[in-house]
Amino acid sequence: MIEVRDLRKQYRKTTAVDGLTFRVRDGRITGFLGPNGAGKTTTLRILLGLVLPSSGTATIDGRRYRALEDPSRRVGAVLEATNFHPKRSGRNHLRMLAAAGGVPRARVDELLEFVGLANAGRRKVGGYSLGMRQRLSVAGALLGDPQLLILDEPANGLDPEGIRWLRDFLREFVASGKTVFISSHVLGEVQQLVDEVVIIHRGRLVAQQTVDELTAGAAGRTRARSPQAAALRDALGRAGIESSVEGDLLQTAVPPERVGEVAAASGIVLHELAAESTTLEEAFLELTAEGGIE
Amino acid sequence: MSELLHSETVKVLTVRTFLWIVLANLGLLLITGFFVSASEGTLNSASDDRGVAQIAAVSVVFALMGGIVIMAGEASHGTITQTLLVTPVRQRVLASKVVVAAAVGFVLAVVSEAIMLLITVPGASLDVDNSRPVLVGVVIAAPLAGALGVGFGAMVHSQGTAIAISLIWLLIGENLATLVLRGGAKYTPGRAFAALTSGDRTGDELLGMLQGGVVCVAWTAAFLAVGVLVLLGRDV
Repeated sequence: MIEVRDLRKQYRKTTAVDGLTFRVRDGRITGFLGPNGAGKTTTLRILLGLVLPSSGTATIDGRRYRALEDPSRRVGAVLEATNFHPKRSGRNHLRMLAAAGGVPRARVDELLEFVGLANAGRRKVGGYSLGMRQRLSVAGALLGDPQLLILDEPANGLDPEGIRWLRDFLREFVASGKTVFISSHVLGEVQQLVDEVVIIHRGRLVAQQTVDELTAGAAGRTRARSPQAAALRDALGRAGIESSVEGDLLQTAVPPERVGEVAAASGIVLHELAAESTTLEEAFLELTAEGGIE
Repeated sequence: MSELLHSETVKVLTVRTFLWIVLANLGLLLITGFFVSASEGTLNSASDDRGVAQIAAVSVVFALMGGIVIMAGEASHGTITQTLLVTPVRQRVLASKVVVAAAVGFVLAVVSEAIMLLITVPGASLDVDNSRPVLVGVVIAAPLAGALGVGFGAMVHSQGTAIAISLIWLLIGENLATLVLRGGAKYTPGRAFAALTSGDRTGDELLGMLQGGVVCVAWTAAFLAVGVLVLLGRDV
């Protein structure tokens, strides 16, 4: 389990992370969301022992990353796709990581095949596309067959096929009882993938909820479009249902079935009748517009 | 530790930077060696023998560059992130780099000396017995320079900047230090390494070989100590 407690990181006059506290439970995919500059990457780097916190703790299984006995077998991390020597081949890049982690060399070829780089493994990384580098990063993270994957914006540079591949892979990874903590700003992508989200803004926690909880804000609300919107409002009012009208658009807090019944009973024409829902993006924008702001 | 050493060796062997360092080292030696053979013909004194053998000391400078590249190259290319993810204890990373840089320095020194002897023994009648103290000094100095380069690379973080600073220091800074420090200039890093590879040629400008060796070790230890402290406190 990942646990971040009262984490703070100050860079001279800038506070990147400001008293952040959250937990990521095992066996699920947790999204780590926030606008650019919210402190996501700094938090992940502190968690991975690359950045020193000003105060607070970030632990994995109760221990700081540096104190993990065999970190590459416990945690795999995908950070920027620029952390490669451009003159070294993808295969040699993995070989050097495998050697440091005590991973057999055969695993290198196995993973190159898995991420679809078997034919490009002997080419220099400088000639790789961003998507190929991301795949190489994923291969590097998987060398030790870790139980936890931490990914920072992994969809960056991936083409639609690559994104689909990554999504399918992460689902399979979690289905085998492992854990994924993924930061992303592509909210539509995250919504399809994650079980829970941690949303931060200006270094502070804004929300930690399941996606269902987060998008349930408008559940049960109905939107109806009718050339007789005012008449529909009156009919609903007679049935004890409050509603509001703007032009031909009517909105109310009861389910669509009830609105449809009232409209049919009153002989009112409807052009549209739909249940309203909040997307993750809408919820995110709402939260980061007001929540946690100084 | 053996896994880390293996990884560092793979890093050195899988980029051409070190091939260029070796080739530049050998190229400079070959040109200088042939020039000495062609112009000297015969060496007349033990001091001349040591002076010619000291040409192999160019490997000390290339070992320093190698050490810098081994450490600061990782920061410049961003691969230090991956390295520290696999091995988060930074002292261990630095220690393995010191061992590999010292090994690179040793190989450079031995190959340089072999080539010098191959060219100058028949070409300029170089006396190997007279040259022995210099050859021993170079074999000790080059690994130390490699280790010092790792410490300096950890301090400066940028490969290009670290190499530029070290070359400017060796070409200009050492001479300025002589003007400013006068007798104390014997203790600067460049002059300490020169003393270690001098074969005990006496003179006012350099320490004795043994004293020079001690000062070289002290400089190497100091750069490594500061390098460790900087590396431990640095955000990657």
